[in-house]
Amino acid sequence: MTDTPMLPRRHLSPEALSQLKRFTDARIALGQAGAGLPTEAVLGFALDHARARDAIGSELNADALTEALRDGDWPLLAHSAVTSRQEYLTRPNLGRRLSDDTAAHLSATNLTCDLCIVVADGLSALAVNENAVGVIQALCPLLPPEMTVGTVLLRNGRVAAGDRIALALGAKAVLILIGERPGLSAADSLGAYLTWAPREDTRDAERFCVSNIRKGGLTLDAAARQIAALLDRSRIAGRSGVAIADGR
Amino acid sequence: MSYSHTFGQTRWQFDNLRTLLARATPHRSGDVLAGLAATSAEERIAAQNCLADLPLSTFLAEALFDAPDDVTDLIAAQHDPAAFAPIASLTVGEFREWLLGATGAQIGAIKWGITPEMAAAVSKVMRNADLISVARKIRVVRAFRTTVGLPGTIAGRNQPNSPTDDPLGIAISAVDGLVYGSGDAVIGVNPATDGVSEYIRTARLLDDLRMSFDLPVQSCVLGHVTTAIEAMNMGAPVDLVFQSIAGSQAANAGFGVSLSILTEAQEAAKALNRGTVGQDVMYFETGQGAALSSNGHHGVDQQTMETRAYAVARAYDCLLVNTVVGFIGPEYLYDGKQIIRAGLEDHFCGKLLGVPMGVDVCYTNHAEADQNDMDVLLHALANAGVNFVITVPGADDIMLNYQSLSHHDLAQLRETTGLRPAPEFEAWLKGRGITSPDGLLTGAADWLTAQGVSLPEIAG
Repeated sequence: MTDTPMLPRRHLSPEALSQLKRFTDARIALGQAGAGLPTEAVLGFALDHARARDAIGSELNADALTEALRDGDWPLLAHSAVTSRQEYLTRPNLGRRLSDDTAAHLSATNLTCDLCIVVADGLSALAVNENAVGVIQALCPLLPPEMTVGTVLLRNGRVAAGDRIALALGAKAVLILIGERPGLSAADSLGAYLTWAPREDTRDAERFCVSNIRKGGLTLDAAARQIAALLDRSRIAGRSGVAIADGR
Repeated sequence: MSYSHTFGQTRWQFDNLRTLLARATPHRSGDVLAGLAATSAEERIAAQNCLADLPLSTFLAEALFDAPDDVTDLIAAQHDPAAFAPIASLTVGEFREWLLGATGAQIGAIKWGITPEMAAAVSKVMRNADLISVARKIRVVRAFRTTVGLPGTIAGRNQPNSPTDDPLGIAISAVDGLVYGSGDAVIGVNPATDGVSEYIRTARLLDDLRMSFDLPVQSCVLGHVTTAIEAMNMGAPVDLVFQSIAGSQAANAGFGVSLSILTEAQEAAKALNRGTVGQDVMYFETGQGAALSSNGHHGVDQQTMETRAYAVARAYDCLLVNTVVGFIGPEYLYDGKQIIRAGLEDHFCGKLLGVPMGVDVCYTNHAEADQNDMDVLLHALANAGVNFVITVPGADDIMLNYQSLSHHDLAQLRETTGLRPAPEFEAWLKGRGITSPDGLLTGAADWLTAQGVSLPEIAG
């Protein structure tokens, strides 16, 4: 076949490299079309990116979350000072503050609790819609019986907004369950930040963090057990964060 | 001192030099976040007009901010009046025209006369095409085991990161990059854990890979500079020392570094004498927004602060410097348009100041950007003569969770533009049949068949 050199150049990944795929999650051994990526690799990447983008634009399902978490007057509904998703992405300072309406509403309420659980969309409402209720349901039976719990749904919130909600409700501690920045491998990953005795100027190092909570990552039950253990340690130490995590 | 510009009946006033620079900066989210951006499109152009009329010598007479700052002191110490003489009488706008008409040799001759603030100022009145065409004339060539920055070449940093610092995962990923011709800038790993034992383990792994494959490349573990010093003291095989740097003393303190620590690290790495064709041992990363995020920006816009980081970089013998342009997120650079602009600014300003500039062409999932934007930035930077770019398997960094270029993007660029790898590495690729005699990728089946089985042994 003398016309073989006329065929377009396309290489499958050599067997020696393809065999190693099982040792890494990296996108190795993709093969090549000319020097570029094969079509399957281009479209596979595009799908993963599309899912991440959709997760960032996803909306907190307040109706379903309210229904699932209903307990007396809980959950409350709160908004950060952010007014759009674009503003959420560009103005993290506003995402840490509460809207005037929410601040007024919280200061007028008579509700109070020991542990305030704030459910916030963050960068992936999808993660919250799918995983937050499961974590809370698994966590509640693990808490001390005398500990009262209040829940709050927060739109366009960042972690520090939880401190302000907890202060308004007179809570001893705040647990914020928030959608993490979607990755290409998972768009539904939930983060949990636990802060004992929150202040308006709590530093990040004063929080405990449990991340990658999702089906296929850290399971909801396992996350609830970790959070309960961290809450116990915080209660005994009277503070949270890396200082006690390191034993210092 | 205040500055002003009048359009018809409207007089636009700028309270000081840093405000003028900020208002003249093309729109980006980080300057809005800092409360420094122009409040209207017209105000921005008024500031650019005002800036264009400003004598370059203004930047020698007026400081951007008053707080004591060792980067400001370094900039003053670096300034060479003799090198400045040919442009001493120019305004910023005239300097733009001077650059467009100058040769690379003429521009190179004035680099120690240009301060970072002058570079930032002129970039603010240049369009993207200006940034490309002037940068293309400037060559900054450095060497260690490869020679990076030669005309007609573009190098790749092969970035085989692993979320668990798994040696086998790193080794496999590095080999994947070699198959597509990436690694001539450096094989550089961002460690997931910044401990000295992890640092040494990864440094040894990369050195074992180099020796097993007889690779003419340098490696780097991108841990903290103090970790690198500790590792070198313990006998680790360190080629390049890495550190993130920024444009103020406060921002550098936020990274946990001082100029004296960087000097100590450079001396330690040079003493190991591991380079073959050069001894440029430092590798720095920078990026617009770093100073603001550590509250070390002193009211200066993020692009000007970025150029001040290049004053730090050029005080050392760097093989590599790159901006991580789209990594820091949409609160600093919102979308593809802003990332592309910033990448071209950073590359231009770095080269103008004599820095061996590369770019991490990249974005995060919460930025309004995608691979198409990266394609545009890569090809624009290639035309601008960028020294190197960063590549990862399939454009997906599984440790840092962001998207950089794929190894394929670099390979395809080289075939499209005719740009070639660093000469030492190109010879190695051809010698192993990874590229054909005319430089096309072969798939590397023969080399892999010979080498692939030994990977688990190398990874221990």
